Amino acid sequence: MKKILLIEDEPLIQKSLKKLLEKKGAEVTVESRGRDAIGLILNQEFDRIICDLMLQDISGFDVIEESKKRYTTNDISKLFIIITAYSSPHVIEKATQYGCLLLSKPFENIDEALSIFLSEGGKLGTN
Amino acid sequence: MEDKSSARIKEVKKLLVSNELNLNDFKSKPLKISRCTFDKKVLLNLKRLKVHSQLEKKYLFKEELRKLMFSISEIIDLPVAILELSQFSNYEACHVLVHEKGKPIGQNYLAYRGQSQDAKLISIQSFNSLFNLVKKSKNKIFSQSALLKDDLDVLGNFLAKEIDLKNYSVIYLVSRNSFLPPDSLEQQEFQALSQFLHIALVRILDREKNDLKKEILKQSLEKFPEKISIKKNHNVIFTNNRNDVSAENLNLMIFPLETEENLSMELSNFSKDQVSTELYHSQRVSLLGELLNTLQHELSNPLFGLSLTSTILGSETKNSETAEILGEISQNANRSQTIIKNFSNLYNDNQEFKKIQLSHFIEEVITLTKSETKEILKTLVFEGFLPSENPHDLYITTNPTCLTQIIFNLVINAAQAIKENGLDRNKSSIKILVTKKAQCVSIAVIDNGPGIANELTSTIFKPFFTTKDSGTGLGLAICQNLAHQLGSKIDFKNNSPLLGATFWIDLPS
Repeated sequence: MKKILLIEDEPLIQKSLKKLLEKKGAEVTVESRGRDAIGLILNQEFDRIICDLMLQDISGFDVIEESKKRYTTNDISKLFIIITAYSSPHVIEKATQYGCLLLSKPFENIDEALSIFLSEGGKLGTN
Repeated sequence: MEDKSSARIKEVKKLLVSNELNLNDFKSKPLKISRCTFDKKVLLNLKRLKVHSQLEKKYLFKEELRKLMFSISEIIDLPVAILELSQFSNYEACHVLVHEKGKPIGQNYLAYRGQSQDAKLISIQSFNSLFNLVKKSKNKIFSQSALLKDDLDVLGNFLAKEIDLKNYSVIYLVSRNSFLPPDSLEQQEFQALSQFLHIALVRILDREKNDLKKEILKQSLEKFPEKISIKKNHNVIFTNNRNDVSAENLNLMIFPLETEENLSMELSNFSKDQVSTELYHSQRVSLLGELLNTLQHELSNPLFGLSLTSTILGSETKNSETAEILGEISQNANRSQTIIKNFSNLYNDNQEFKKIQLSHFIEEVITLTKSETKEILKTLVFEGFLPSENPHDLYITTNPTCLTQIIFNLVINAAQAIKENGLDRNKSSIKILVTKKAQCVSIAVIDNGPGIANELTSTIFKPFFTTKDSGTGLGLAICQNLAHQLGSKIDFKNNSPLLGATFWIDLPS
C-alpha cells in the first residue's frame, strides 16, 4: 500500500483529498503545519509527499528545504508533489528548480490529479 | 505627457522585474575568479573531455595561458590576446565569432597582427554554416576555400574550434597566409585553448549581457521625463535627478512590481492635466490587478475545498434532497471561482490575441456587471446571421482582456445613465446586439437612458470629461484607447425615435 503524507492547511481540501486517496487504497497521513510535517518527513517513511505551498507557519518550499537533511535532490524531485493556488511564474520557476511536479488548485480534473498522486514516481531507489 | 509614457512605464517595469538586475549597483562588477577555482574548473573541463593527462598538466600550468584568461575583461580584447600567445606567433589573424542563441545576428570580433581589434556583424546563416562545418571536422584544420561565404575575411589556412555554451555559440579561429598546414603541436595547443576559453567566455558573455541590460535600464530611468523612484521595502534605492515642482501640482503614482522583493516604482512631479489616460489606466490596472490577484488566490483555496467536499458528500448520500443541495453548493463554489478569475483577467496586462467564442464571452462579461446593473433587463441579441448559422458558433480572434474591459465599461456606463434618469424597473433595459456584417462583427450596447446631449457629443471621449459626480472621466477615453489596440474604434449615436444611446465597436471577423 502506498504511504502518502498530505500537507495542506485548508481543512476541507485536506479531508476531501484524504478520503479520495484512501478510497484508492492509499494510507494517508495528514498534517496542517509545516514544522510538524518536517518532523514526520525526517522520521517516517513515505512513498509520496503532497505539499501545499502557503502553509500557516512556513512555506512548502521551507519544508522541502528541510527535507534535504534526509533526501537527495533527486529523491526530492520524485517524492514531492507541490499543490498550490498561487502559481505565479516565480513559484513555477522555483518548483522547477526542485524538479518537483506542480499542480495548481483548483484541479481541473480531480481523477487525473489523484492518479498523478498515486503514480510510481514517488518510489525511491527505482533508478 | 504623451501616451508613449505608458509604453515607457511598461518597458521600465519589465526591466525592473527581470530579477537578475541588482539595482543597488549600476556599475558592472569586475570579473573576480580565484586562481584556485579557475584551475579546478579547467581540470574538470579537461577531465570531462578526457584529454590526455600529459596535455592536461602541460596546459593547465602554462602560466601564459592563465595570464591571458585573467587579463581580458571584454570579449573584444580576446582576439588580440590570443594572437599574443607564443604558440600562435606564426598566425596573423584571429576571429572570435559569437552568436547569442535566438538572436537574428552574430558578432564577429577580429584582430590582425599589428592592428587594433575590431568588431563586425555576421549573418546568422554564415555563422551557422561555419559552426556546423567546424563541429563536424575532426582535425579542425581548414583552408580558406572551405568558406563559401565571404563575409569572413580569414587568411589562407586556419584552425577553428567551436564552443557550445548554454546561451551562446562561439567559434574561435586563427589564420595565416601560408600554404603550410598547421602542425600537430599547434593543433593540440589550439584545442587545449578551448578549455580555458570555455570558462572565461561564460563569465564574460553573461556579464556583458547583464551590463547591457543594466545600461538600458539606467538610461531609461535617468531619461524618464518625470521624477521616478524605485523603492525596496520602502527605502529609496534609485531616483533620477528631476527637480521638484511646486507641491500643489505634485502627483504620486505607485506601481507595485511583481518580484520576490518588495519593489515598487513611484512616479511623481507631474501635474494632473499632463497625465495621459493610458497612464492612469495603466496604474489602475496595475493596482486593481494586484488586488484581484490576491483575492483570487485567497478565495481559490477555500472555494476549491467547498466544491471538493460537497461533491464527495453528494456522491455518498442516499437522500436525494441532500444530494441536490450538495450539488448546488458545489456548482456555486465553482461559479464563484470562475467569476473571481474573470475579474482578475479583466485587470491584467495581457497583450495576447486569442480565439474566443463571442456569445459565451459576452455572457461572462455581463455576469461581471451584475451588481451595477441589477434590476435592469439585459438581453443579448444576434442579427445578420443566416437561418442555418448558429450565432453561438461565432468565434473571433481578439485580445480578450481589452474587449472585456470595453464591453464591461460600456455596459456599466449604460446602467449609470439609466439610473441617473430614474430607474424604471419595468422599462429599463440594456440590449447587447451582435451583428454579423460582411467584413466584421459589430458589438453594440444599447440603453434606453437619456441619451447624449447634443452639446456634449464632441467631448465625451476626452479624458477627464465627466457628467458624473464621482466619475474620473476616463472610462470612455480608456475604452477608445483599448479599441485602438484592437485596431478599431468606438462610435456612438443617440437612438431615434426612442430615447437612449448606442455605443458600438466593429471588430474584424
